[in-house]
Amino acid sequence: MNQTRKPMRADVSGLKWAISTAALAATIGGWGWLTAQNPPEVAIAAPQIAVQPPAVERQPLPPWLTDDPMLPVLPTVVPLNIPARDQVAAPPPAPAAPPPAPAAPALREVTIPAPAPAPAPAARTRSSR
Amino acid sequence: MQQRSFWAMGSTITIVIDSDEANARSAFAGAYQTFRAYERILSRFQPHSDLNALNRCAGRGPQRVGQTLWRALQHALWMAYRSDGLVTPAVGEALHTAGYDRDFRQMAGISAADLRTPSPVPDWRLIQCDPRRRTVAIPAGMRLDLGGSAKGWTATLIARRLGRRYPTLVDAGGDIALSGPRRDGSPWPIEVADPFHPDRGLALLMLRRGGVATSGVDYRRWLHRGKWQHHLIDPRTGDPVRTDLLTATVIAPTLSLAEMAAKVILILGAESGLHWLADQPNMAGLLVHRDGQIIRTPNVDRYCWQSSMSANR
Repeated sequence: MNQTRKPMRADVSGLKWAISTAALAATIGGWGWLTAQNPPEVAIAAPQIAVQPPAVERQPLPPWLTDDPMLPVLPTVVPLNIPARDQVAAPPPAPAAPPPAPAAPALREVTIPAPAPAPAPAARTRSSR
Repeated sequence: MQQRSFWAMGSTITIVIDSDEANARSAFAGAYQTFRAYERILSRFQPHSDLNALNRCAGRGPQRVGQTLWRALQHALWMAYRSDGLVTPAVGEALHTAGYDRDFRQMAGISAADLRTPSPVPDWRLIQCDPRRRTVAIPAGMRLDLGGSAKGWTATLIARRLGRRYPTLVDAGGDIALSGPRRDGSPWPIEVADPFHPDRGLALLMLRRGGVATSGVDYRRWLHRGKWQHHLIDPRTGDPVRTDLLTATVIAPTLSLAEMAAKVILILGAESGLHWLADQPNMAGLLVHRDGQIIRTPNVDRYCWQSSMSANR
């Protein structure tokens, strides 16, 4: 069996270094040239805007804003037509919800009765007298 | 509301009738006469009473007795049975030995009777009764005393009798019998006296019927040859009771049961007395320890007045 021998290659590593160095130098040089072509006149040409503070005129609040809001009395919610337990698919576990805020109770005047006085005893039990 | 008080059976008797009728006066008169008549028959301090006549015949066989003495004695024997002999009519001799030989008002706190060594009280079951002939035989050496038992029995009888016409409360020296609720259906307010401060109350009971009684060693005491005695005899020793309690108040379906139970608790002391009371149906107790501690059975609160209690409860 005959073996074919690869031909000897020429050493090109020096050429590769030269090409890379030249490309890098061209890139850096190009950046420098572009920077030199954009002077900062653009920023200087931006117009100056003078911001005037707004004049605030204080007016009295309207009466509807100063009065206490009229909170409606919330009716008690009564669940209707509650399905049987076996007809209801188990809902996916809900994230823990914060407890519902209690409805504002309707305020009314309550008269607390005074504690009834003890009745006068009709007799006293004690050791035989 | 009408009220009359008088002295009978060694105590102040007060009768309260919840009625405005003018003819209730005759009811008071009848109650007074019954108390005095029964006292003449049942008292140990009246020389000619039927009871003393029977006592003089101790050891002489069966003696025929009157209807009232028969019934009062049967009642006392029933209480002896209920109390396992701790409340017995056979304590007459022991009371005499302790110096209680006359009406308490005449003793003035001192007894000059001969001091004798106490001995256990004879067994009440030695008393022989023949209901057919209405005869009673007591053994030699036994002397009967129906004191508190007869008083409670008479008070119960009067309350029941007057209660047929009017709501009635009978207070027999601090032991109270009720015929039923007041006219408007409300309970009777009854105060439990504080033995340490007699003018104050420990609790206000609201009772419709039944009875409430208090036994104690805070009163009815006397000095006998330099030694304090009192009227409650422990039949096991024949000596006045040595107890850790000052008073015992019991609420029961009848005054007789309440009085018997209060004496039993006082004789047994706080711990054993409460155990005994726990086995008794429909009874509640309020005990006052000698050191001032107040012990209530859990069910006594059912009867105590509370500010939230309505009048018709």
